[in-house]
Amino acid sequence: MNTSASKAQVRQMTPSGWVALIAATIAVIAVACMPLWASQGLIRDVVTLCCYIAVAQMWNLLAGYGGLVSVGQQAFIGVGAYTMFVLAQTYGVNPFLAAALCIVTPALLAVPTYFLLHRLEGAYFAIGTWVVAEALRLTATNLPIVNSGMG
Amino acid sequence: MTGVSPKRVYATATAIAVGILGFAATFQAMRSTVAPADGAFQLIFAFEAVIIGGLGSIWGAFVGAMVLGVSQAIGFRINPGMGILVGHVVFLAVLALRPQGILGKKQ
Repeated sequence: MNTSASKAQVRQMTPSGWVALIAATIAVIAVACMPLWASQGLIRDVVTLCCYIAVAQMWNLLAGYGGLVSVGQQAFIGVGAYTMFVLAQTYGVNPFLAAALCIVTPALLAVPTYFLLHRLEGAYFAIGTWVVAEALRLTATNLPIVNSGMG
Repeated sequence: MTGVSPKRVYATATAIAVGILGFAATFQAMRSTVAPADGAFQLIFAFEAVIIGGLGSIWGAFVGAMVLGVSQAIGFRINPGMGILVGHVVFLAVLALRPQGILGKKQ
């Protein structure tokens, strides 16, 4: 370890940290009890916002920290969303249980995708992920169980 | 090679590439209608053709385009909803079995 790294300090519980912690706690509580005080339209907007924040952070972790420029992550989002709807609507699973279960299929899908794409880098990786996503999209438009992509 | 001006080479290569794109645009407009959002649909086929044939090889891109087009045509004959999907599957198979492409050189 070099000297500049050993001089680095980690400071915890700074004033700005406390402000952020309190603000985040209030925000989480406010969002959790939204059905008690917010209109349906506002809840819908906040859910959409949370969706975009989650997707943006996912991409930030992948490309920003991991250096993996993927243009195919929407495939996993779509597979998760379809899993939830098929479980809840076609098989009558409790929607809240289905929301928890829908993380399983994207995780299973990630295994063959990994073996296909893990050797690729740069442009090959980006295009590979794009084609995987396109192939899954076309598969969805051909599957009767998801109403052939008609919603 | 020495004495080559990279600026000039890049500029010429870009000019030729965009010029070829003009041919593609003319042929596309001759066979179908055009819309501002058509690009991505054509771009993915172009990428696939180049990688099937081998990145950085002119004849590779030609062979790749043939392979992709014939696979799609066969797919469409099997099931009208499956043609493009068959093209993607062939591309992914090439990516898995021969990542450098059909005419590409081994690194």
